[in-house]
Amino acid sequence: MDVGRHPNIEIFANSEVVGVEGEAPDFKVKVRRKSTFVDWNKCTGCGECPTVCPVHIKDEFQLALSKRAAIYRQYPQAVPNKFLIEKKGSPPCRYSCPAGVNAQGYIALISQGKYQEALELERRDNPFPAVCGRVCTHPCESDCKRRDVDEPLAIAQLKRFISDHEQKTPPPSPELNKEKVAVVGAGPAGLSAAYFLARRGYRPTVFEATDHPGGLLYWAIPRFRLPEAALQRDLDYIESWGVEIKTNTALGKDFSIKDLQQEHKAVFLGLGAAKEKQMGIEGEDLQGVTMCVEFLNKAVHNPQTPVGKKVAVVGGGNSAIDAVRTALRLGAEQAFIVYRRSRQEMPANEEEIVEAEKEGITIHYLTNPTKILGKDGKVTGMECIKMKLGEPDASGRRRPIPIEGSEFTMDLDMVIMAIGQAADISFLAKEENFELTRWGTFAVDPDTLQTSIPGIFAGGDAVTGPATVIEAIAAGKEAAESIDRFIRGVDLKENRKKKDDRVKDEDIEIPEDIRAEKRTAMPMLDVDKAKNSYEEVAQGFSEEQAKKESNRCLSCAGCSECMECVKVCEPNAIVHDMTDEFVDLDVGSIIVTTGVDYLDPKEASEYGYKRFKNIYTSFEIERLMSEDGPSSGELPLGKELQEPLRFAFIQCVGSRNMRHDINYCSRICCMNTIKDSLVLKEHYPDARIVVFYIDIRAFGKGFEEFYNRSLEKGVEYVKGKPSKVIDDGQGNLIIHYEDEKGHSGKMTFDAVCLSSALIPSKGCGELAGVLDIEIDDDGFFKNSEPAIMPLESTKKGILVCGCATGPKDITDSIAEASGAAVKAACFLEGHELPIEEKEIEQIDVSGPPRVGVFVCHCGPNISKVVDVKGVVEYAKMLPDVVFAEDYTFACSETAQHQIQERIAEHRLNRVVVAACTPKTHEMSFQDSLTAVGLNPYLFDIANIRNQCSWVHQKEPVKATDKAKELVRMSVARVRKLAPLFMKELSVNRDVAIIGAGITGLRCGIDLLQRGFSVKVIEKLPVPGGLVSHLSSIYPSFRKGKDIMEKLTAEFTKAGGELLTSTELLDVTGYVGNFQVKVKREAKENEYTVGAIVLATGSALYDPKKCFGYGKFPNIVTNMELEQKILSGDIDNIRSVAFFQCVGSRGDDGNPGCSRYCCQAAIKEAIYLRERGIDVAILNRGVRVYSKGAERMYRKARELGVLFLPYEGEPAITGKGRAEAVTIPSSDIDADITIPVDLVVLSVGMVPAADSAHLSELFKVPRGPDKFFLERHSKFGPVETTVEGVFLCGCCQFPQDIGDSISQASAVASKVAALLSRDKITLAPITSTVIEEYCRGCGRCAEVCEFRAIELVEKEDGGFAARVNEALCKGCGTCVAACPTGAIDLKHFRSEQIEAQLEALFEG
Amino acid sequence: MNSKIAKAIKDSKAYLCMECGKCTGTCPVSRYNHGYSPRILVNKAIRSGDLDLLKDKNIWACLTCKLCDERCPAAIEYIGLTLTTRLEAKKIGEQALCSHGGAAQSLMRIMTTPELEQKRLDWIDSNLKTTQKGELLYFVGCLPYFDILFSDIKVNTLQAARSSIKILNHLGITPVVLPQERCCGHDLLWSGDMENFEKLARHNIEEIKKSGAKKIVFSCPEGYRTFKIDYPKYFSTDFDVEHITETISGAISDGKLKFKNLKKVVTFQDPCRLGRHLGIYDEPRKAIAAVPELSLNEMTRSRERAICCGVSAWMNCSTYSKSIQRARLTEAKETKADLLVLSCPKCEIHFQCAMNDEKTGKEAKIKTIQLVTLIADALEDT
Amino acid sequence: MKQAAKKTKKRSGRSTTRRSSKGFEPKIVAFCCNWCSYPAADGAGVSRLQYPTNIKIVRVMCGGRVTPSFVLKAFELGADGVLVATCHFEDCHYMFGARKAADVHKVTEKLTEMLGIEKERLKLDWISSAEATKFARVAQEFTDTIRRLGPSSIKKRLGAISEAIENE
Repeated sequence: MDVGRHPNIEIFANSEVVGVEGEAPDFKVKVRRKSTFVDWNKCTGCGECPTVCPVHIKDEFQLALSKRAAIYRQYPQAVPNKFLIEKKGSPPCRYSCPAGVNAQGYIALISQGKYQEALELERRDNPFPAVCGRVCTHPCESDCKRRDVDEPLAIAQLKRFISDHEQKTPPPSPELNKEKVAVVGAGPAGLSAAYFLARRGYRPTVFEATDHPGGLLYWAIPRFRLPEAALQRDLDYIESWGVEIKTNTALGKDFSIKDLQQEHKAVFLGLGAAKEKQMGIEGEDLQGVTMCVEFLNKAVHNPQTPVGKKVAVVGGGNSAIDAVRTALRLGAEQAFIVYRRSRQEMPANEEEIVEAEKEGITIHYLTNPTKILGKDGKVTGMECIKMKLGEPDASGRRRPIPIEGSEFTMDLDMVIMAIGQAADISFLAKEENFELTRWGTFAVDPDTLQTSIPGIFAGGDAVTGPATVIEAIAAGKEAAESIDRFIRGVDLKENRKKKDDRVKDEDIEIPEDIRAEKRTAMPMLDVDKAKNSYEEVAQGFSEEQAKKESNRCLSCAGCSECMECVKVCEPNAIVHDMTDEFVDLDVGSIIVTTGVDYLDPKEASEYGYKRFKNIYTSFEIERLMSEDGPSSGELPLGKELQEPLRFAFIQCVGSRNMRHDINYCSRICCMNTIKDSLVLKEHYPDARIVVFYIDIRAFGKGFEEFYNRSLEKGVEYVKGKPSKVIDDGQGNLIIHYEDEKGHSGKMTFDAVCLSSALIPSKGCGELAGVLDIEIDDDGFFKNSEPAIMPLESTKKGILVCGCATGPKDITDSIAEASGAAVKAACFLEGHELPIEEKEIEQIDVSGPPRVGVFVCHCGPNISKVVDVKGVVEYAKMLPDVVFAEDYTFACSETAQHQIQERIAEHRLNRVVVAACTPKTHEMSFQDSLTAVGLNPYLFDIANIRNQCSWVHQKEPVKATDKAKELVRMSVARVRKLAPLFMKELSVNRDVAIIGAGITGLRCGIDLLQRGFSVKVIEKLPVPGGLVSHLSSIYPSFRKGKDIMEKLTAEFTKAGGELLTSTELLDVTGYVGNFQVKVKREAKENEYTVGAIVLATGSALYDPKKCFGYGKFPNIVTNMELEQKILSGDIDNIRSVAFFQCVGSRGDDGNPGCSRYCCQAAIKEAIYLRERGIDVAILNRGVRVYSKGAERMYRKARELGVLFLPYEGEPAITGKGRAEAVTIPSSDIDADITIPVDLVVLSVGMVPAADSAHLSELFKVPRGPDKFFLERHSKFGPVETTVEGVFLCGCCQFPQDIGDSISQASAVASKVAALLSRDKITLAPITSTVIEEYCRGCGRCAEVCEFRAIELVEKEDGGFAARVNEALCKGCGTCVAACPTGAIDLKHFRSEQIEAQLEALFEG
Repeated sequence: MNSKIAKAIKDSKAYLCMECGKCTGTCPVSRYNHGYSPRILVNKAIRSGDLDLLKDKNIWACLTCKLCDERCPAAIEYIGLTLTTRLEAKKIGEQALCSHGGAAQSLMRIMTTPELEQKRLDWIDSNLKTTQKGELLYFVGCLPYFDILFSDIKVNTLQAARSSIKILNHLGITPVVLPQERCCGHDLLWSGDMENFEKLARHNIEEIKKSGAKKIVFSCPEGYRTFKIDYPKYFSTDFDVEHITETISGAISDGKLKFKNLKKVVTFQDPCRLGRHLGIYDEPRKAIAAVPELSLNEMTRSRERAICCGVSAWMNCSTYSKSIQRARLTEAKETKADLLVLSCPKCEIHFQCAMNDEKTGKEAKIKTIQLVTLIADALEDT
Repeated sequence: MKQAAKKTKKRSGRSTTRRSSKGFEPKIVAFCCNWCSYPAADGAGVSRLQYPTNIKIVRVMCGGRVTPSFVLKAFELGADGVLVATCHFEDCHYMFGARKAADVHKVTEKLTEMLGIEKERLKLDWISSAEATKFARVAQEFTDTIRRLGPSSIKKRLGAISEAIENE
């Protein structure tokens, strides 16, 4: 939220970096801003759109555990609070439709019961829904993705359904275009062309040779398949758009092309293919041989049309089926089909074939007539030959080949030839010089359909040869586009090519839990009845069937472009044809924070993820246990629990696993599991929770305590990785595992959570390529040097932080983020943004309140539920209200201007806006007030949207009452408000850093680079801290001393002042102006600094007498070992035992994990082992988590370092020196004795000896572990409660070097941000004291975590509280503590809050 | 001029003011708050008596401790005028700054609800005998609420109630303790809220009537004053009232109370309601004197001249209150007494609050005890 | 006096949701902290989670600002229920404000309990800014609870001072 509002931060959401050129600090970055299809300048985030979106697809934010609409916001708190649409491309149904009909769209609308809307959507692309719903060859269904699940959707039948449910509405009348266009032929192509032209505002005239429009639809499709009434509906609709159809007007007879050209700007020829093809075999001229269309035409209009007794129809198309079924109805005793290929190749619609068969029609497949036999000029029979299928031909179908000698004869008296038609336009060619193809069709441009004569276009069968209705419609549609362009004089071809935008199959989401469901069968007329009548056979879906069928749609494309959202979007923000945009940016530095992804645990198939119910990933559990999650915080177990919940966590699923190439620890999972186990315990207090783990890595601050808390709550921990999870069929999940004793065991659970590994985020490799930076072996971004430069990528100026470089928890990530910011800022020298200020005359507000109330409709968001006008009228009656009015969008610029005018006009001195939430809009209204000189604090928002209209949608009356109450409360409050003013403090730009260890120096260098002057105060004579004593630093194995010397040199070279042997005496002052008094070489000095950084590090635990330390000379601490290694004093050692956790995780020393010691011990062990020394590391769980550490751990094992668990104090025996250590072994029931020459105690980190003193001096509190306490572990990890005092490194908590350095940079970033301005502006909402009423009791000071209140002595010897506004954060807890009422919180004064209460209960 | 004010001026004899300023010189508030002068307020009343007076913040600053009345050479009844002024001021929406956010006032106003079913008797230990109906009633007052509201400063005002019942039991009396007793209304009255005062009073009178009690004993001086002076002024009551110190003193005279030795030096704080308002000075002293070996060192200013605990009616608690308390506690310490004996719960709360201070509390620290508790604890076991 | 007259006139304009035991509409006030529970309520709106209209939010910067006096004041004025909603302890924007709210709440609870106000009428809950659903659920459940309890017996009864006293 803060980021979203920051004036200097611009967020490019939904964008990707596609190219980077140049070097730091002059990068040129090319960003592709993926189209959001929503204009974010207009979107108010109101959330109306998803409520009407018919699409429900998986919600990635809820990890597909619930559904969301295609128009969505990533999650409720997303910044910016804007919506976007997900479009994956054209859905297969739409893509495969020649006319591009938006099937997914109307299907989605049907599912919502929006039939009329569905029909309108259909008609955008196709004026013939009634026709196509019946006779279309529906290529859409052939490509329907649902086929992969069960069967394709009955798309055509759904189309028919919406057509059948048409409600007559007047078509919209687009702006009239006077240019005249002629269309010849009222078949589907011609009518479509005319229709699409009419939609564009033309008034085309259609010339039809026959006496009825419709072409073959009217003349040749039997009524039992396409009732005349249905066709008429489509025709009427087309005409309703103003299409004029002139029948009985034939081209070539009544008018010529020339005539047309004279009167019209453009012409479309939709002449069809009127000529029926003959087979060219003997006997086709016999009486009783008839052409299919001719036959159908007669039959359609005359039920008495004579028919043979035994009729053969030759052909396999829909016409053939129509003909044969018609013949049956006309009275043929036997009617059959002769078709030369097999059923599979048959072009007729499957459902038509099925119906024909049901009616008793035989189809002779692989049969071809060779001769028609006759007697007396009449047909008597037909000679046929059997065929077989050969290789596929050009059409992709297998070519039929006659089987020699298989001729046979069939007796019949009628043959209907249904082998197709051809165009017959030879008459035109002669007259007009049209260019024709070799098939005698028009030669047209395939994209534009323009013939060889400019301005004359052609389409349909006359161009393509006989084709389908939908192809004809498509042609008409394309022609209309061309004609429009032609008339407007626009290039005909530009952007015409059909985009290859079919949704990629892998992008189509098939829900994992989908159930196979047959497609809804079309109710059919009873066969016996059907056979004997012309009644329509297919009866059409019922509403219920249509909805059911529509719900089978997979919403392949995401957004269905149904346009419903556009209708409800008041600010007109939705732009469905938005395209991607490319932005070029000049930047000085680039920070990569691409995060991580979760490993899909399906790969660990033994754990049954997705195979069994109730197995989740930890990320899913996270969503499920969230109150805001898909199941509102309950586990959707899908069964009644008979006994308390049994729940298991399996750790390291994928992590630390060579098989998955995940050779690292995912670092967060242990704590995540512990946290989830506690959350589960809250929901299910009696639950049995078992965690299967390899090592519990609770290494962060407070983590150990957290772990212990889970133990206290009864969470069980089983060491071991289960071998498998099995479902017993009754919903019990059985985990097989091996316990520590080596016994295999089984445990039964109701649910299992898999702690899945964190893996590099998708696309990280590509991004690395674009940025030209390296990726490490694990696939994360590589640091130039992990321990020392944890934020730098392998390229200068490009920084990497957070999980982009490897898994990390939030605290560490945030520290890194701040660190990266300061590093980035070093490349931005001289690019600070100027701040503008101008003087505005202030309105005098001293008089009685004059309140203006402005009520917002928020489009329909408020007004749909709340009676806004009523609220306005009500507001006018409230005390001191002198003006009230309403606005559609109060936040719009116009409305804001109006409010400003009203302020002047009505001399308003208080303003109430009744609108949305102050959390997002308070500032913008306040700015409006400021702009006209009204103090911005004389303002209040009544949140009548988020708290009223949105949450009480079904109770408009009560919601209106509540809105009035909220306004009444706001008015009451605003009457009591007082003007407040920002205060400014001057800032000293010097920084004092306490401690010259690696952290302090790093922080100092970063600050020096940012142009601040820095003093590092060190009590010891030499800088370097603990690190300078290290023999080497993993994983680079550089010497600690070298590193520190280099760093010290760098610091002094950059101009830093290093004060060694310096004692801190006193610290006074506050942020921006601290006085630090020090003593150096007996001389006292005082420095004024703007900020202070505590980098005082930690001490190491002194093992005193434990573990035999001090008793035997060859028992040393790990630090002493480092010295031995440095001085080469290891020659006589053959065997070493390390004891981990000495002074960590126990009652003595550091109660938590010291974090560094496992990795340090392993580093040391490798060094020793490589020199042939036997090494055993006795541990309490190996906690290696840093980058590369797991590898190092593995290497140590490879080298033969022994890792043995131990608890308690072991027996160390020997004479005069330690000779052996003995520990009990848990798995072999015997003690293990290891001979040793050296015992190394890995001692914990404890707070430095002077931390209590420093805590007192700086007023920085310490936590229960006595380390300094940060302001907030997540939101303020390097800040303290004292403004201007920061923490980094081990004085806060043990860290390894990399973490400390990130923190150091983070602090530098925070300090730089604080001191970059000349003045610090203080928010005016602070506490304030009326001294007269202050008893000086100090309770306010006591409760203030920010040390903002001090007791100052008064003349009379009493005390009074004084608020330091620089430190006050405005929480008001002090007000609650004050006994007398002397202290109050500005802007939230008691009387202001009480006024609200009184107003509320006044009604 | 507002007729009520006019009448109050007459009743209080404010016209007699000689403008000598003795009141201001005497007033504990004026001693620290130099902007406060009873004399000027009296003058304001006489001259304007209206908005100018009613809107004056200082009308709320008076502790109504009656010290000025005591000293006024013209014998003006200043606090009577103050009360009327406040009642009138309240009518036009004026009010004092309430301490504790006005929580105490809210509690009291909530108690005007007739249907209220309080759960206020949990503190009555099993060794204490109480009843629902009977001749004598012990009026607890708001102590149960105070102990919660002021739990942060760790007061135990209820101990006085327990001790009172113990003493009554000792005298063979099983007092009525009303489960639905309400606040007496003292604080609301003195902060000008006549409307709610009336409701509380009527409710209490009704409850008492139902219990059949004829006599009411108080340990709280404010409740006592309210019942003794204010209730009869407005309502007809048919019961006698008595302060527990009067009961004790009577019993001592009757030889009904025997005490153990208690070798202690104490000093005694006269609460303004008990002392100057009702003239009870001797009874407490008689009780102290009755305990063998217990000796009383009087503070410099005691009896009629005693100084108030610094706050009245949960309003206008301020730096001046604090100064008054510090001064008073210092005075108590100067007596070299082991214990400061109190007999008002508010004295206990206010002094305790002052003593809790981190900065100035230490120097003012002295152990306190409620007189009834001192007496109850000293009772010889029977 | 002029002002008072004006005020009376204005009163007639109030929305009327009168209390009666039958169609009882509880009046509930929710003190919500600026950083967690208030945004949670916003989120409930964004997600169109429906809950009863009875709950009215008063925004405070921190739950630690809510004193017993606010709660008592609300009850005194006629609240049938009072909800104090703060951050979860670990989320508190001011570190320990939510904890302090919980401490203060204990005192308030004891006071209201002693007053005979049913325990259920006062509720403290922790709702993070992400828990819109929880907000809606709490609002719903709390309203249901209060509805079940019926009207609070305490209400501000504006009564005239009896004549006897007035004339005294």
